[in-house]
Amino acid sequence: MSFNSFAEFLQMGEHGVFVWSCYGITLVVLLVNILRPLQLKSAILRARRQALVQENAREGNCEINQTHGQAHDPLASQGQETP
Amino acid sequence: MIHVWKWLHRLGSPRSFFDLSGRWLPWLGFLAGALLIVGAVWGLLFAPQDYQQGNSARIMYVHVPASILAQSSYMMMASAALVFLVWRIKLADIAVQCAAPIGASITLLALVTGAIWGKPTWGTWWVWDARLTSTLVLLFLFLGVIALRSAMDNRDAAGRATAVLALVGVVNLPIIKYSVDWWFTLHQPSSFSLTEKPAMPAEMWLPLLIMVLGFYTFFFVAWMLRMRAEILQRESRTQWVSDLVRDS
Repeated sequence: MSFNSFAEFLQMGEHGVFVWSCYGITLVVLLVNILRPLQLKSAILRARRQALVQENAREGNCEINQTHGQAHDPLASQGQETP
Repeated sequence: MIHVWKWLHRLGSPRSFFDLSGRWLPWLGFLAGALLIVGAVWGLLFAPQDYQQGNSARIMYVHVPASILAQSSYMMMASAALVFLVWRIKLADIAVQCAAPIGASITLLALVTGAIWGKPTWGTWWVWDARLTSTLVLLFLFLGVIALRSAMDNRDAAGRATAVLALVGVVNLPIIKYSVDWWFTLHQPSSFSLTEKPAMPAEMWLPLLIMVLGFYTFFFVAWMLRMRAEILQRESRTQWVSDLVRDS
């Protein structure tokens, strides 16, 4: 161990500010690079789930419409889906 | 040999890559975390202080791995670009796109930690010397790849254009590497070389080596995570992604 006390460890001689800011920035950069893609992935999956739920609901509507003699237009639903 | 080709071919499909990387990630993530924690604790607490620089030399344990990874990640991105241009493998294009933001952030990290280390050591945050300037150019190359991709709507054309830009930028890498030998500079020469023993004692280069390995492993973890998100995005209309959504 290179330090005698915790206070000495925090001070790093007179270089505490320099050393700790470097390690802090490093931690932030590494964390962002891990958390950001995870967040993206769950957002994509959530959007896809909603789209699927809407598709299912529309197919459900389609059956009801057909009982009323109205044809379901598949192109219209596809058009709405495209982002 | 045929097996290797088959395996590579399978890996080249985005869906297989998604499945395989999902199995590798927990192990790689654990390894990266363990290496980084061991390396950081060793470097901060147990490594001796530098006889000239005192404790500010502990910045080395993040600055040097970040700088090495910044250059290597560019090399890896350019290799993926070459694979994409030659064989038109979709996954290689995804790899180029996903390496760029990670590489940019690591290059920025190398520059910022270098500046913070420079202040107490050289008495200045920044000098326009060859090593620092060529590393700044590396950051701009990464940003250029990101900007070029987002500026083009056609994914195919964007993929080809960014791949060409990534390959052209490779000229900058030997400039960074040899800048400390070719020009007068404040920056010290390389800490590691493949042929010679390190100039510093083992208590210093061992934690540094662990940090370098930790940064590399971290890069592969971050790269895979980003590629998985991008694969889901590009393949979101396919049946297997719909199945994945239903099962999750």
